[in-house]
Amino acid sequence: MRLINTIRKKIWFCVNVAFIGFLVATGFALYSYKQQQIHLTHLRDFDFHLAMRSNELLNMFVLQKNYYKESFLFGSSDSARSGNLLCTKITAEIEAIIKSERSLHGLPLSRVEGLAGLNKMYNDYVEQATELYPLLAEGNDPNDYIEALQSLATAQNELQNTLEFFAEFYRQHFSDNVSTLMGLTNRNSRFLTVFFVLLLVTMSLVVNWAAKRTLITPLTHIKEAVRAFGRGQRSFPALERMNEKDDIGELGVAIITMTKDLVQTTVSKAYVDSILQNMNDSLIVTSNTFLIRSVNRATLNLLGYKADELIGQHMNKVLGEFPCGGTEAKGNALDAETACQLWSNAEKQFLTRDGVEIPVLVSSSRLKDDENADQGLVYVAKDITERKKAEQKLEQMALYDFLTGLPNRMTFSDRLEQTLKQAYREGRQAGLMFLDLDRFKEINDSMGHDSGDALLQTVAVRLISCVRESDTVARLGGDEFAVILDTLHGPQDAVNTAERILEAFDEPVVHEGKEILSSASIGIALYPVDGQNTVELLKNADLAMYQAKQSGGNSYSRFSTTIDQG
Amino acid sequence: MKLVTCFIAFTLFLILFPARMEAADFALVVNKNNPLQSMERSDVKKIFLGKKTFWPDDQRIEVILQTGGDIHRSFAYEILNKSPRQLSLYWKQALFSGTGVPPRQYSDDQSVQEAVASNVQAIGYVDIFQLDESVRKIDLF
Repeated sequence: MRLINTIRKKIWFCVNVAFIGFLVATGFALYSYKQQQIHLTHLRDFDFHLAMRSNELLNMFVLQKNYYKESFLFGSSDSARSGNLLCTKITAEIEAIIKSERSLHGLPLSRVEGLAGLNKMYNDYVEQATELYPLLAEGNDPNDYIEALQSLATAQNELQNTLEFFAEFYRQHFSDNVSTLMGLTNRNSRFLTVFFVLLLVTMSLVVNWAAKRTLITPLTHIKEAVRAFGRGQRSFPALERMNEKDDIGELGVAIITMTKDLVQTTVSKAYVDSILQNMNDSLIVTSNTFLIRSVNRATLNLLGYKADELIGQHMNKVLGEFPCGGTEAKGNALDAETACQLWSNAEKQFLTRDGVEIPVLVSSSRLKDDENADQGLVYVAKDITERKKAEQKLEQMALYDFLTGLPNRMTFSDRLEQTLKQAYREGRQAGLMFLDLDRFKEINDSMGHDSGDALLQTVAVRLISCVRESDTVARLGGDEFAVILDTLHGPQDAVNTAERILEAFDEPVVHEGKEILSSASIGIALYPVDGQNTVELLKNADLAMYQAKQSGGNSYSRFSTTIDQG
Repeated sequence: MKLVTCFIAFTLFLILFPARMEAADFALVVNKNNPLQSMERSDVKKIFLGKKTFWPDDQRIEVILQTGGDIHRSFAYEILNKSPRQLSLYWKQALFSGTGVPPRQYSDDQSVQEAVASNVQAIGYVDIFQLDESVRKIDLF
C-alpha cells in the first residue's frame, strides 16, 4: 500500500484488479472451450466414424446375405455374383474399421483382437460362400451340400450377430460419448458460473477494500477533520498519522498546516464573542430589514430582556421613535432607510422591557461581508442616563432657584420680556409684582437660617397657589420675589391677586414646632400704563414696593398712586 | 421378396384351383410299430414343417415327403396350407438359414411305404388307394 501513493496509481490498481479478474475468467472460459473442442473432434473423427462404418458394414453384410439367399431360393446366378462382388467391399470396410481402431491409443486389446477375429471369420465364410452359392444357383441339388450349407448358415448367423454387436457397440459408444460430453459441458458451464460469481465477488471485495483503504478512509478523515475544525477543534490525530508521501496524505498534512497557520493569524470566534459579551456598551446586530440577529450581554442587562425575546424582533421594539418607517421598506427605499439609520454618537432613546425610556448614545454602521455586500447593521449604544441627569441638574441650577425651585432672576428677566412682547403684539395688559418679606432679616437672625429657608420655601408654594397657571412666580434673591401676571383685564385683577397673596401670609409657617409669622410688601406696576418696557416696569414696580414698605409693610401699592393701607 | 412370393402363390392358387376339386385322397402313414393311432391336423402340420421333431416317446421323427404328384400337392394344400413350390421354398429357406434340414423325398407311394415300413420313427403320406399292409394309417381329426 505504501507504493500506491498517488490517486492515479490507486485508480489503476482497482482497474488492474478488475482486469486481472477478467483475464482469469476469459482464460478459464477458453480452457473449458478447448476441452470441449478436443472431445468433439474425437467424437467426430472416431466415434461417429466408427458408428457409421460398423452400421454400414452390417447393412452390406445383410445385403450380401440377401443376395445369396435369393440366389439359393430362386436359383439366380446374377444374385450370387452380386453377393460375391460385395466381398471385397465388406473386407475393405472391416479393414478400415480395424485401422481406425488401431490408430486409437489406449484401447483395450480385446477389441482389436475381436475385430481381427471377425476379419478371419468373414474370410473363412466368404471363401466357402463364393464357391457354394453360385454352384447351387446353377442348379446343383442342395441336398448334396447339406453339411456345407449348414456350416455356412451357422457362420453366417454368427457373423451377423457379431456385426450387429459391433454396430450396436459403436452406436452405444457414440451415444455414451455424446452423453459424457453433454455432462462435461454442463459441468463446465456450472463450474464457470460458480467461478465467475466467486471471481466477481472477490474482485468486488478487493476493489472495494482497496478503494476504502486508499481513498475513502483518508478522505473521510479529512472531511471529519474539516468539520471538527469548523467546530473549533485544533488537533487532528487522524490526519497526523497520514503518510505525507501519499497524495491524500499530502492533503491531510496541508490541512494541518493550514489550521496551524489560521490559528496563528486569526482570532477565534470565541475570542471575539468573549470580547463582545463582556463589553460595557450595548451591541445589537440586525439584518438589512432591521430584524435583530444578535445582542450582547450588556444590551440584555440594559433592557431587561432575555436573548430569545429580542432575536428576530424588529429594531423598533428597542429603539424608540424609530425614524425610518416600518418593516415594509423595500429595494432602494431600504437603502435610503438604512442610510438614515447610520449615526455617529447620536442621542436616542432605548425602550426597556418595562417601557422605560433610556437615553443612549448610538453609533451604527453597515455590516459588510467579504464581497463588500451589506449584511445588516451594527448598533453600539452607550447608556447616558447619568450624564443626562447631571445635565438636567446643571440646567436647573442655571435657570432656577436652588432653594425654592422657582425661576431665578435670569429666567424671570427672560419671561418678563416674552410676556411684554406678547402683550404688545396682542394689545393686552400685563402686570408685574415685586414682593419683599417684612422683617426677614430679623427672623433669620432670631430663628436661624433653617427657619428662614423653610419660610422662603413655604412662601414660594403659597405664591404659586395664589396665581394662575399662566403666571410666573420667581425668586430674585434673598427675600425678594416677583410675579408676572399674564393678561390682565384691568388694575383690579392685579389688586385682587395682591390681596390674595397678603391673605396667604396670615397663616403662620410651622418649622420644627415653632410658628413663624411673617408678612410681605408688594409693589405693582402695570403694562403698558406704568411702563413701556422691562426696565421701566421693573423700576416702577420696585418703587411701588418701596412705597408699600414705607407705609409699614403687609400692604401693597401701585406705582404713581400712593395707597395707604393701614 | 415376400411380395413376389405372395404373387406367385396367388397365381399358382388360381391355376391349381380346379385340380383341387378332384383332389386325390391321401393317407397319413407311420411304421406299424408306432403306437400312435390318431393325430391332430395341427400336429401333423408342425411335424411336416419341421417344428415338431420328436414323437411322444422322445424318438426323433423322420419326415418323408413325396417329390411331386397329385398326392403331394393335395397333402401340401390340405394339411400345410402351402403349394408344393411354397413348401419346397420353405425348406430351402430353412436349409439356407440353418434352421432345419429338408426331409427326405421319394418319387412314388411305393418307395414312401417302404421307407416308412423300414423306419419305426418315420411318417409319410401315400395315395389312399395304394395303401398296403406294410404301414399303418393314422386317423386325422
